[in-house]
Amino acid sequence: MSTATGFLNRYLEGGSWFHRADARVKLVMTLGFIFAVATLPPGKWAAFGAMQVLVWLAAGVSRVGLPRVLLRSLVALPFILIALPSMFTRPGVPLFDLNLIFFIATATLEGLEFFVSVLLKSWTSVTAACILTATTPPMRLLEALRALRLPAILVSIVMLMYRYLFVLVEEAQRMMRARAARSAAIGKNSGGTLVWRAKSAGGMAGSLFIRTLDRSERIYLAMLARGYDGSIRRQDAPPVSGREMAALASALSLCAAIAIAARLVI
Amino acid sequence: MANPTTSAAAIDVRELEFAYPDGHPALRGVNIRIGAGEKVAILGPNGAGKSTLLLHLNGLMHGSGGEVRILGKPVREDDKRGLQEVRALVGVVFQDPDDQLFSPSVYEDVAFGPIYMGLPREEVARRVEDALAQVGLDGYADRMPFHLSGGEKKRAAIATVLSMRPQVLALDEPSAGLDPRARRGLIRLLDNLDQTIIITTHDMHMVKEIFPRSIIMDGGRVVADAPTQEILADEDLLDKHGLELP
Repeated sequence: MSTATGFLNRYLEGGSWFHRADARVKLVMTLGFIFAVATLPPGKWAAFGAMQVLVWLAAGVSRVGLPRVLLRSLVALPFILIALPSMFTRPGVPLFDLNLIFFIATATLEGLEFFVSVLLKSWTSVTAACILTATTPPMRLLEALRALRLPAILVSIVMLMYRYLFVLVEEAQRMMRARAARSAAIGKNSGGTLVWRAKSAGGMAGSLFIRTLDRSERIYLAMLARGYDGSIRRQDAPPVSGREMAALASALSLCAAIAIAARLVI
Repeated sequence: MANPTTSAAAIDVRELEFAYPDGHPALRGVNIRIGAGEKVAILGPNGAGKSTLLLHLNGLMHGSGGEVRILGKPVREDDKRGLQEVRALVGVVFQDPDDQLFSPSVYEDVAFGPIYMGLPREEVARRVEDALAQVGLDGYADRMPFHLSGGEKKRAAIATVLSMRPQVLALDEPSAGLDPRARRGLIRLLDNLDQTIIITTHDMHMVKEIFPRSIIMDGGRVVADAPTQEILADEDLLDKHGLELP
């Protein structure tokens, strides 16, 4: 194993149902869940809570662990910024004023409710996606996307990118090491002047690009050598088992039930 | 392996010429004839045209003059169907296994050739299993190529062409960069394969051990083609082309 493998890999080995389940089932399940969450109207706290509990249960069943899932779900934080203005733009009961020099923004109760709803919904969705990526190897996920009719060429490009990202990272690391080995200094700041470092970084980026281009040429030859003719051919994955189909159907029904209940009952 | 019904050589290269797009000539009239089942090593300094020659054997490159025939079939740029056939006959293993292993899993890499040959699913699965067993990588099907060791990568790369059941194997510097144990495993593997094998190499020990015939190339030409014992006995010849005695 190389140092580059930890980089970007969200997958955690495990033997839970979530780990073993077909990636297509998990992908559809996650997308269905996120869709259901997205349809919840603002302010339906009970429904938000139910959805969040489902995610936490999934985190438990998958044995990824709630703390890790919550930590990873922090990537949803930037969404706060996007949703923030909604606090001030919704008409309703005024809460407080914010003096922005040019105008005064008034936060409303409805705005706050909307803002918190968006926040919770996006957080729940991201948490669900985190469980998916923690229990599914990236390549299985891409295959699942292809099975769901994402264009094969797009999937192949992403697959090749993922396959060679590690090779590239290693190559870049070797170059940096080579530079570090030759940039010793005695008595003053080591590592050379900023200009020198910028120059060498530019050179490295350039030669990394050339090397990548060369490699892509060789990979293409290796594909041609084994009969590649420009069309993308892969074996179709075996059909999803009946049991997993049933699990998928019940999970999606549960999501739909919560979404419908949120509109009609609660 | 010798087939009495066809007298055609496994590899027949005649007056092959090739120049890179920048005009630099890489092959200047190469003549090589290799019989079915022969194991031949191509020696010579870097830039002699060894790798370029290998790429001509299954039509990845096309000469500006001369011709290449594989088991009697001419390799022609304009004959797409013929090219696909030739590529199933000649398995080329590249020097850097990272170039050869471009798929998400070892299984898919080894299955790539058979899938493009249009074989049915069960046959593909059988061939993958056989090829992995042949190179001693049983149970590696689901591994990610990136996570393999150098020796494992090399063997997986060989499996990717063995699954196509080629008649000829062309390997570019197969033992380069391997540690002694991985190299030993590779030598044993190559020795046990009954295909016609042509390799380029700087590994004189390996040549001496399992390749009965050697060809020395220099400056895009064949400068010697003889039994390995004779070549290795000719110190002047070796010295002249930058080679060393094992």
